[in-house]
Amino acid sequence: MKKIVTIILLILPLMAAAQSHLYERYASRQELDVAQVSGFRLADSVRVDVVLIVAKNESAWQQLMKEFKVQSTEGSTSWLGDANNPVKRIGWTGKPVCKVIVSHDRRTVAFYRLDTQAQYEALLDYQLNAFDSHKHTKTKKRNNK
Amino acid sequence: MNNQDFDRLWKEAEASGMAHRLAQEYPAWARRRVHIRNGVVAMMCIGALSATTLPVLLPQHHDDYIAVCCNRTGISDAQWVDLAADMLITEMI
Repeated sequence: MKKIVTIILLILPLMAAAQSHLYERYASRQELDVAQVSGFRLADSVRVDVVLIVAKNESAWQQLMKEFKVQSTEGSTSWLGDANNPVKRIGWTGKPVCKVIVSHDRRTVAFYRLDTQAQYEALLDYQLNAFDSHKHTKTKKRNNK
Repeated sequence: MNNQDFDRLWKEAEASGMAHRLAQEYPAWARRRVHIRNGVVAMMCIGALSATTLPVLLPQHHDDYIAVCCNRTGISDAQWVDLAADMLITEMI
């Protein structure tokens, strides 16, 4: 029995370590839907961890915007934030950062954890490719009309 | 089996030495039973623990993500992954 308890005690911290501090900070709040997507694929061999926070109502969203010091009230906004404190805006220096994207329409804040130059570049490439394909689809639809 | 049958069988067992042997071996058998019970309980614990921890420790690899955890039910993993992808495009539009 002692062996079993030891095994449980050894495994529990490993389970807890799988969740980021960002996820843990917001997951307990009733007014927010919070998810962590581990290993989100940006390119063939480049993956990042993403934390998503969705506010369930307008007051929760306003509170969240206050916490993240977001001035805008519509559209979307983004910045590179400190990995441990995403509210703090910083530039890319090669050290771990969080790409923070805020969408007022979706009442969503997304955090993309970028630890390496490869991840940073892959994220930019992903955005450009996705934008190109989005534009292409839109043009195609317009031509079909 | 009535009392008389039992008495007769017990006398036979005593005469053949079976009763003495059972009395001697019972503690060993009881210990073995406890070991078996502990083993079964341990296997059940390990099974339950594996079911909850293995998906975290050895996550299944999907094409677009490794694992998703969220604080609410009702939203599928795929929906969260789509949202993560959409948010990247949202910034560009």
